[in-house]
This record gives sequence, C-alpha cells and structure tokens, in this order.
Amino acid sequence: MQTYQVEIETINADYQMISVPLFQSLLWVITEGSKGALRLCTEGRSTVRGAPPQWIKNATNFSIAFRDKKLYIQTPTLNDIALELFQQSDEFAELNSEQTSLDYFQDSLAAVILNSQFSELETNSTLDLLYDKALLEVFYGFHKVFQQGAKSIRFLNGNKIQITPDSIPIFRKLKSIVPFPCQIKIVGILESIRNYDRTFNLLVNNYLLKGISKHMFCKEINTMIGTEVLIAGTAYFTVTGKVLRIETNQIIIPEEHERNLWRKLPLPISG
Amino acid sequence: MQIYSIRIENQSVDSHTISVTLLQTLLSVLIEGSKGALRLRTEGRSMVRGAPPQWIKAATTFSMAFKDKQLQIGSPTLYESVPELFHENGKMEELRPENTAIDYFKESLAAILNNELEDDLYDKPLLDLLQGFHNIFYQGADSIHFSTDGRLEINLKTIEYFKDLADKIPPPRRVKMAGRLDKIRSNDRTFKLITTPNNIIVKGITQPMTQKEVQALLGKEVLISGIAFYTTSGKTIRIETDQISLANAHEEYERVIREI
Repeated sequence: MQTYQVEIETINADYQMISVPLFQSLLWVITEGSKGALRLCTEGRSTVRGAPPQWIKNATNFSIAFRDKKLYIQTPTLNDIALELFQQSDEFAELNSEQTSLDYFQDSLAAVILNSQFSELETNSTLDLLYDKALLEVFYGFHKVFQQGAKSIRFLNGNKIQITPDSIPIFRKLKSIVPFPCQIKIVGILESIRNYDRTFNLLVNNYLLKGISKHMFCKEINTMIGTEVLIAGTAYFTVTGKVLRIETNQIIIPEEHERNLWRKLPLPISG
Repeated sequence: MQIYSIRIENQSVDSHTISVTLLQTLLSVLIEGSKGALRLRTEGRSMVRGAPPQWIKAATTFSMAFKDKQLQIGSPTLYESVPELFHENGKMEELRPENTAIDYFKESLAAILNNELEDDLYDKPLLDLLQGFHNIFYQGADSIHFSTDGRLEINLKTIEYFKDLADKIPPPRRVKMAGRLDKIRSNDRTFKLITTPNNIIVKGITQPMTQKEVQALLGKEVLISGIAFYTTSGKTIRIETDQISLANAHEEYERVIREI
C-alpha cells in the first residue's frame, strides 16, 4: 500500500473542510485517469465501452483522508491486488508490479505537461505513447475542479506535477490535434499474443506495434506466433502520428504480393 | 453554515481514511436525497426528469471533512445559499430560511424510520433513492448513523424496510377534483386547491400557464383533472394537472356524486 499527497490550493480559507463538488470532480479525474493510464499501458487504449476488467477496478480502489488542504490517497500496488497476474510468466510485461495505478496516472499526466513545453512536439519522443485522446478528455475534467474554487492541484509524490487553470488549454489543444483513426493493412511478424485481454505485438521494420483483436484468438493464431502475418484493421495514432494501437478482426497469413505491398508503417491521413 | 456529523461503523481498524467508493456512494445518496427532500417540500414531488432548479443545486453544495470514522458535512442555510427564496415575490412559504437541505433530508429520514404520521415527507422516488445506501454495505460499512441518539441509523435491514414501504404506496391514478384555487406560484407552477366540500388543502402542479390565465382562475371555483399521487397512508401528496377550468365546484361535486 502506498500513500500519495495531493495539495489543493483553493480560494476558500478553510483548511479542514473541502467543497464536495470540488472533491468529487478531482476524485473523478484521479480515478478515471488512473484506470485509463493502466489500461493504456496494457491495451494501447485508455477507454473502451463497458466495465473495465476487475483487476483495474481493484487497482483503483483508493482510500482517502483530507487535512490541511492536502488529500491523502492510499492505493494498493499492482502486486497487492493481482499477484496472480504478475506471477504468470510475464503476463503483463508492460507493468511494474511494484507500482500503483496512481504512478501510471502521474506518468501520463507528466507526459502531457512535458510534451506541451516543447514548441514543436518531438516525433522521436515516446512520451506521447503515455496518453490518448480519451485520457486527454479525462484530464480535461480538471476544468471542473477549477470551476469549483480550486486554484491549483499539486501532486507531491513522483514528478511533482502542478495543474493550474493554465493547464486546461493544453489538454484541449492536444485533444484537437490527435489524428483520426484510419483503416490500414500491415504485414509484420507476430511476436506475441495475450489471450487474457486479446492483445498482440507485431514487429514491423524493427518497430513494435501493439494491437488488439475484436474477437477471442482462434487456436490457429497460436501457430502463427513468430511468423509473418497480415493484419487488417483500424490504426489509432498519438499526437505526433505514431501508431498507438491497431484494432483488428483479421489476422491471416499474407499472399506473396501482399508481403511487399503492406510493409510500411501506417501514417495518419493528414487533415 | 451548519455542520452535521455522520458516523460510519465498519470493521476497518483505520479510522483516518475512508474508501473512496464508500464515500462516493454515501455522498451521492446524501446529495440527491437532500435535493429530493427539499423539492418534496415545495412541489410535493422529490424528483422529476431533468436538472433540478438552480436554487436546489445551490442549497445542496456541501463541504466535507473526515475524521475518526465521522464524516462531517457543512451545509449552508437556505438563507445563506439562496436568500431570494424568501423575498416576497414568489416566496417559498414551505421552507424556513434558517434550515439547511440536510435538515430536510434528516426530517424525511426520521419520518420514514420512525413510522411517523407525516408520510407526506417522503414519496416513492425518495424511498427508491435511499435504497442506494445498500451499496455502502458492500464496501465494508456495517451501519451509518445520521444522529447521535441512534434514531437515524441505516443498516442492511433498513434497506429492506425502505423497499417494503415503497411497495405500500398506492399507484398514481387519474382524478377530477373541484374546489377553490387558492394560490399559484409562477416560478415552479405549484398551486393549492381548497377542496369542495371538505376544505382539505391539496397541492398540485399545473401545465405552463400565462399570467392572464392565472388571474382568471385565482380564487375561483375550479375543476381540475390530472394524475393524483399518494402517500403510504393514501393521502394525496400532489396532483399533476393537465386541465384547470372554471366551474361551480358545488355543482360539479353534486353532479359527480349523482353519477357515482
């Protein structure tokens, strides 16, 4: 169990009480943002319709206290809540079981703030893989916190990120420049698949792409691991145009002419 | 600002922190319940589709703290949050300026739990809403206490009681009623009808009306038709009308009696 501190500066002079609407708005951002940041690490998408997996719910099962304008959040480490997931031969290799969902939340939030500090978004940076459009939408929820009388929110652990009303246009701007998803076909080596959440990794020109299948993997897919496959689906991009994930319902062995035709990494369609 | 203590009994040894899920559930029922209790006093209904009026939102903008298993809720008085409610024009006579939304919530809760005769302090949607407390008990709480004397305790048994009580409320039905239209309040379209012949005051809500239509009916003998909603004991809690027309209330009454 880890404890995090969040300092809330408000226009109100009361140090012991917190406005309920402010508190609810802040907790919504932290809880949904933590769920999203965790899911993004494993599936390449922060949100999907329907209830999140139970382990994500457990990982964001926080306890809180509030005193002297500080919110104290207690959260379990990933090991505490889903030991079996991490014991199964690197089932979730993307995650560090010693960390908590709030660590991932703060990493994603810091990535957004850091990215905004460059005049041009650096295309060789991997920071933008830590957030997607839906997660930016959740971060944009901070505007409700400021509408309820907050002046700044400072996360005192880790990156010590401070969110102020000036941060809101950053979230809005980045949301608006995320490229639209587009239909693609791509050939690459199927590195691995994970039945638990239907995700797979595809190696294309030394670049590892994350993908997710719309249906459960059929038995034949297991025999394709380590071989060249053709994936047809929808590519989702980061703000700098890198592929964040591919959602597919078709993984097949390519024909000879397809091997040469679909070798290039997909690029977003420019508006 | 008034401060209220809500004690949460649970098995957790940590008395300084509270589960976020438990707290969110508790706050949600408390806020929506307070809105409902306030609205019930003024309109005779705790809930209606759509956003509540701004004054109800302002009156239920609470602050909070948590210490030693006690949730402390700060609630502004109605006069602090919405002084205009007590201006002469459109005054809400059913409400007291020194009271808070939590006072009305606790009053409704007391009427329910203590089986008081004042069964017009709650309705079916409010009882349904209070059943939302059951989620708290899946989050590790054993009981919630809204008063220090034990009168306002909520536990799993209480949830069953809310459900039983809600099932006892008679279903709404279409009615016609004659009487003198005593008052119409323009801001929430509520009215009071003094029935013929037994002089009972019935609360109702009209369809939108122009000022001219209101003036033509006010203080007159009218016939209203609409849907009547009831309390557990069968008293009319409100009538939602679709028509109010001028009529000789005594003649209408006699005519209906003859028909029966």
